[in-house]
Amino acid sequence: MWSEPRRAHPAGVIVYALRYLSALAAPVIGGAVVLTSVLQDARVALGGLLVWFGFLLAAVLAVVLAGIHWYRFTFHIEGGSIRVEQGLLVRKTTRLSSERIQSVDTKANLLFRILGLVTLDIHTAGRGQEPEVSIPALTEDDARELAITLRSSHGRAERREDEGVLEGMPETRGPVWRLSGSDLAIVAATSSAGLLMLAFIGPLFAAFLPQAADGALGAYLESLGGIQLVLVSVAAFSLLLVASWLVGAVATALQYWEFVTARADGEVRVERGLLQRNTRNVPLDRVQAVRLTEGLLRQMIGRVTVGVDAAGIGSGGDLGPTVLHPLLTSVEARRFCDAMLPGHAQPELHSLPARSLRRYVVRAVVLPLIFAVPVSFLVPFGWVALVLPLVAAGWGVWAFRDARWGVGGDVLVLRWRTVARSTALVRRRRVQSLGVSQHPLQKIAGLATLSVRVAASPANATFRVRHLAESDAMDLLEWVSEGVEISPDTQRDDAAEPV
Amino acid sequence: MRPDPSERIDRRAVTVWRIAGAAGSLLIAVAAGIAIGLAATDLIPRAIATGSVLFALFLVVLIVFVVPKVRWIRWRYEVSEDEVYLRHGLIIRKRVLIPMTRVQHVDTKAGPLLRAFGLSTVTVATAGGEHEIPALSDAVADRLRDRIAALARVTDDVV
Repeated sequence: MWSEPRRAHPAGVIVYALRYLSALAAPVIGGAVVLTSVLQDARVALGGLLVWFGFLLAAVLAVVLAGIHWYRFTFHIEGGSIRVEQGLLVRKTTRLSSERIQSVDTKANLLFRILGLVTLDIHTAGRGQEPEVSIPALTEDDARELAITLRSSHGRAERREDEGVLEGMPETRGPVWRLSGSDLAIVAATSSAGLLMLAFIGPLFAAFLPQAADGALGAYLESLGGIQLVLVSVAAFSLLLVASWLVGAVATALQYWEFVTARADGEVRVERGLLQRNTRNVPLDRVQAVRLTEGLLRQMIGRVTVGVDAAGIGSGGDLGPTVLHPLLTSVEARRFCDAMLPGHAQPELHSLPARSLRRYVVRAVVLPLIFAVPVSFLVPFGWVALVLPLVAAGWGVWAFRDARWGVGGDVLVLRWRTVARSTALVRRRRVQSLGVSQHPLQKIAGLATLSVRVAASPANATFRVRHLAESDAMDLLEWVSEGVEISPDTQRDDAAEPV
Repeated sequence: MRPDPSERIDRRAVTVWRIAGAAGSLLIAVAAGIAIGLAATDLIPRAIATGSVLFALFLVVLIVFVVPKVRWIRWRYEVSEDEVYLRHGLIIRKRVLIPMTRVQHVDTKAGPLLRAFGLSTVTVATAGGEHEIPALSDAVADRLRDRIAALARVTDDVV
C-alpha cells in the first residue's frame, strides 16, 4: 500500500500554515508598526484599514502556500527505501534507505490528538536535531504501519528475526513502566522548571517595577516603615517564587502526562505529554551512556531520574540526556536499568581519598570569598554576604562526599555533584576518549582529574570527576586501553599522603 | 603506571611558537605604549605606568622565550595499533587516550606560519570531539595521518 506516491493527510496543511504564519509574523507585525507610525498624521482610519488588510493578506498567503506545500509533498516506499518529493520553488527529492534510519518518532498536538493524527519524524545518524524526513500528518494506523514497513524492509528487522523476535516494533511486548498519577504530581512538584522560569520572569518583573512604583503602589510603599518594607518585599518575593513554581509544575505535568516507557525489541520507547503527545524510540545500540540524575528535591525524597545519552537521533525536546523515567527509587532504578538497558549493571563504587576533600572545599569557596569580602566592607549589613562562602564550603564537602568512581567488567561509572547529583554509566566501547589532567598542586598531592568524552546529540557529553588518586586515574587509562580489571589503589590513600 | 608516550613533536615547533608569541607581543607593546602615553599626560601616576611596562616585559619574556620551550618539552604522543596516546599541557598536565576503534577521521592541516617551516598539525576526530597533535614535519604528519587512518579502518561501529 506504500508503493504508490501518496500525500499526507489534508490536516497536514495546518502544520505548514502554522509554520508559514510564524515565519510571516515578524515582517507583517514590523510592517504594521512602520505603517501606523508613518500614517499617524494622515487619516487614522486608512492606516488601520491597511494594517488589517496586511494581516488578512498574510493569513491567506500562509494558507495558500501551505496548501501548495502539502500538495507537493508526496512519499512512497521503493525497494527498501522511502522516497519523498517536496518543495515549493526548490524541488527536493529525498531517498532514504531504511537501513540508514535510526529511529522513527511521532508527535501530535492537541488538535491532531482529537483528529487521531500524528506527525511522523524519521531520524538518520547524519542530522543532529532535525529529522531527515518529517511527514506532517498521518492517521495513527498509517503511521504505525509505515513504521513497521520501514523496519521490516531492511537490516534492523533481519537482525531481530535472528534473535527470534517478530519483525516490526510498535507492538510493545517487553517490560512496560507507567508513571502513576501520584508520581506525576511529585515529578511536577519537584521540577526545577519553575526556577528556570523565575530566571526569565525576574528581570521582566524588575523592569516593570519602576512604572508600578509611580502609581498607587508607590504611594503605599512610601507609607511603609523600614521593617514593614522588608516584610512586604519578602512576601512579594515569596509570592513570585510560589507562582513560578506553580507554573513550572503545571508545565512539567503537561510534559510528563501519562509517561510510559516500554522495551520493544532493540529499542526503548517513550511516550509522554498531554497537549503535545510525543512517541520517541531510542535504539539500544545508539545508547552512549546511562545517566542517573538526582535533583536536590528529588534526592531528598530518595528519587532518581533515569536518562540516556544517545548519538545520532534527535534529542526529543529534552535539554540534556533523553529522559527514560523521571521518578524511581534507587532500587527501582536498578531494576529499570536491568530491564531496559542491558549491559549497564552498576558495579561497586569507590569514594575519593580524604586528601582531596580540602581541594573540593577550596575550589568551592574561592569565588564566593572574592565576592563576599569586599561586599562585607562596602555595603551596610554586607557581612550577611559572608554566609555565601560558608554555604559554598558546605557544598564543597557535599560534592566531595558524593564523588565516586567504579569499574565493573566493561562499565565505567562516574558520579559527581554540580547542583544535582549525577551518575554516568559508560561502556568501554562507548568511550570516545579518556583524559587525565593534573595541575601542579594536584601533582604534588598525587591527585588527578578524570574526564570521559562520549558522543551524544544534540551536544557531546564530557563526564568529569575531580581529584581522584593519580594512580587510580592512570589505571583507568589502562582499563580503556586494555580492558583490564582494576581495583582502587588503597596504598596511596590517606596513610601515604605526601606532606 | 603507564609510561609516557614515546614521540616528541618537531623541534621547529619552538621557533614557530616563538614567532606567534612575538606577534602577540605587539599587542602587549601597544598596551604598554598607551600606559606610557597616559603617564606622560599625567592621566595616571608614573608608578602604575612603570609597573605596567615591567609587567608587559615579563609577559613578553614568558610568551616568547619560556612558554614555547616548555610546551615543546611537555608535548609527547604515541600511536600504537590500538590507541592514540597524548601527553601535553603547560601548567595543567593532560594525558588523553583515544581508542583506535573510536577514530572517525584524521586530517593534516597547516596555516601559513606552519607551512613556511614545512610543518603540519594532525587532527584526530572521534564522534566525541577532536584532538590535535601540533607541529609535525610534513613527512611525519603525512605518514602518521595515513597510519592512523589505516589502523582506524579495521573496525566500523564507531558510535
